[in-house]
Amino acid sequence: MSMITSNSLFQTAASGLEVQKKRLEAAAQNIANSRVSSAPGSIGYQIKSVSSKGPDDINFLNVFESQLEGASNLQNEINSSSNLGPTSEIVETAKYRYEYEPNHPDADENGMVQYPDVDMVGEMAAMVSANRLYEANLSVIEAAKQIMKRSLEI
Amino acid sequence: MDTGLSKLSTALDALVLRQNITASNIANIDTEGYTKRKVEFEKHLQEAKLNGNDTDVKPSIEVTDQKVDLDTELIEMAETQMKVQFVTRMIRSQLELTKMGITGNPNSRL
Repeated sequence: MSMITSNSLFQTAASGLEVQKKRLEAAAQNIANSRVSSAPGSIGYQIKSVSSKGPDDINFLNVFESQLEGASNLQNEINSSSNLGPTSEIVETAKYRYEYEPNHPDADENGMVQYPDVDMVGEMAAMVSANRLYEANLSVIEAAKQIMKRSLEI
Repeated sequence: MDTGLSKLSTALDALVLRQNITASNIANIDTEGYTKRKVEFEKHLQEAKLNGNDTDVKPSIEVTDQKVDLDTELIEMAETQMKVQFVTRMIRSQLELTKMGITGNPNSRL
């Protein structure tokens, strides 16, 4: 077994952690900015969400080959990615709701003020689920460490 | 060399690969378009055994059309860990047997 390839295990779990952290971040920002007012028609606070993309099939092949062929494919391994985790980015969507507050400085001629349309319940749920999935990825890391320790005991 | 030992090391390779794939399943659990992947090894080994030639069995990665289920993955992970423990213990006792053969001393330990 090539120990170097076990790195891909940690990389994969780290990408998983990263995505969940981003989801938590997006939820935190959305909740914190849910009452940011802006004038109707202008660009106010935009709702953040995380979009993620799965790993390329070639990465699976890389992991598979380096796992079984071991050190002979080391060069190959350095040049190509063996991260099986997702890649993600935070995307913004402009979605607004309007409230009638004629005395507000941001009110338009009809007295409407623009707020980001944050789905509070949805954000809360996303927060909890991100937390749980973060934990799941942590236990993957713990398991990987155990496997490495076991191999050292041979 | 010793086929027993090399088979055990292939099994260990397969198990680490499986752990890799489980990590990928968990990391991609809320990725759109990602479906569960799994490592087949025991099945291949069994088939090879039935055909009478089990010297060069390799695991394979299979793409399923199921969605990733967290509980199943965590259970699979625990199972993989138990198997790793088992295989490493087997390797150790194989080596101990070899040493016993060399030294002629049944109490010798590595």
